Amino acid sequence: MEIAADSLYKAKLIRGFCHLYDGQEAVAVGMEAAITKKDSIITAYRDHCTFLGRGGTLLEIFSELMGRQGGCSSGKGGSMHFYKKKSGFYGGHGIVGAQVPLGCGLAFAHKYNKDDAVAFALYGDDGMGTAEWRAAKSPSYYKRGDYVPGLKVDGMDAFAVKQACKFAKEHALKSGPIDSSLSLRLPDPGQSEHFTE
Amino acid sequence: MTVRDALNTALDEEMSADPKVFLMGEEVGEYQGAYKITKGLLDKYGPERVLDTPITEAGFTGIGVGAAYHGLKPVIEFMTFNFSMQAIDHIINSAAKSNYMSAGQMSVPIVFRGPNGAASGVGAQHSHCYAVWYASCPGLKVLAPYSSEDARGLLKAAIRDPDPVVFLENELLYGETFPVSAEVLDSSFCLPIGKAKIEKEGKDVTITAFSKMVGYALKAAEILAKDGISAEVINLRSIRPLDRNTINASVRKTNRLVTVEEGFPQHGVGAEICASVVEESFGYLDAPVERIAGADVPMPYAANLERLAVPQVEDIVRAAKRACYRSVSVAAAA
Repeated sequence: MEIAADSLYKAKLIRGFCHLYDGQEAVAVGMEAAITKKDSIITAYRDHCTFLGRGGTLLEIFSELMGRQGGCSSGKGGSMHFYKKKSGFYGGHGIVGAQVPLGCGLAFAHKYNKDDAVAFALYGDDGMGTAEWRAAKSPSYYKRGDYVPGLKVDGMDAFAVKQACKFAKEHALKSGPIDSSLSLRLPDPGQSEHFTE
Repeated sequence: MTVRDALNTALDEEMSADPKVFLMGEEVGEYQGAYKITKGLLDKYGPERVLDTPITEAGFTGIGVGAAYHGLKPVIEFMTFNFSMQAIDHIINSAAKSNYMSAGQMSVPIVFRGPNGAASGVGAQHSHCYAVWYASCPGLKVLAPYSSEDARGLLKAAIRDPDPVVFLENELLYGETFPVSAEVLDSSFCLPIGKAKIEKEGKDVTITAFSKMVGYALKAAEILAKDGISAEVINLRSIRPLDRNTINASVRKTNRLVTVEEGFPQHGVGAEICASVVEESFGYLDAPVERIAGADVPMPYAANLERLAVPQVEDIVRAAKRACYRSVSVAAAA
């Protein structure tokens, strides 16, 4: 799907921004295997596969990318703004970092409602191709300033991701927030994505 | 000269002339600038004067304002002004108001620059125009260049200015080429802040515009000329202070006004211009003021919707014709 999107983008049939998820599928797949649709997920703009994992269809995705009415946001959002509220997917956000406090808000709502569900707020260290050392002061995200407990996970291994998310959900329900840093090896040198919940 | 080169040379010359001037922003150094506006400057001036920042607008904008308090002259780049919202507290509360609140002690000689407004297919969160957000605040100066001459002259003026200046560029204009005179290329060239430019003289209707819309207004003027309507096109250059004198003098000559902007209509630049003209030149108006603005919706992604959401040349032509021929008022905007 993402390779096809890449071709469409190069052919200028997809406009604006198009951030691809290929190479990182283990994250979406592993996460979905560990949680339910009652749990919430919120992420930044690299949301195509997250949306698919939450029950989105290829037709909705490609229609949206190409600005058609049949798209999941009726063509009004584009690549960065996929949502599926009834499956607990809250987007799809273009402003770097915005989804983190929003994710905390989702978690707050779960706690407030006492519904035994959790929120996963995902973010990467990357921003927009900004090299890791330029993007953040401390790249050891899973240490989270020694304030929130953390896990370091191999993000390329779907089973590892599944176990990590299962553990994280149990921990969050029992004791509070937990940070997981999922390391990825991607083709571009100096780039890796870290996800946290 | 392209607008990009105009901005680059302006930054280069001002940094060369004044060692207190420094640049700060995301990707301004090693990457040579997200849009290559700061190309070559890290190599020339070194990492002490061209600083790459992490992705934290609130942080680096605050640092810039603090440096300006101490007398340095920062030029802060926002990758787009959409991200300036993360830092708007520092722009307004820390920078804009300080000179007044301190009775003149704390001058803040800072420039905030970057692309503003609609680009192409980037969606609602990346297409907002901030001209009126900043222009409503006393203590700020807000500039919007159109041509390469504007870009050079206004950026130099902004950097030399002792007060905070918001400098609204346009991504789609960076690659456009404009003729420039030898005077413009000279390193001492500077344009006055608060003065609009009459791009094209006319006698039947005044069209005001800024940034990319100046180009559209000029195209509309060509089309109107074929229909025997002589339009006067004013390039505002400065949103705050607004050149009310030039605008009113023009309306007193033509008796009709069309304001054009790409941003949202409510409380827009056109609304302010209309109020100013009604206050100062009411007796000279032969028709109600026409406002052309972007559609009152968050910017849609789909190409056909995006085209409908921003003003097109035909919209300006229609509005000018309405201002010239009509006898009953029309409620809907184009």
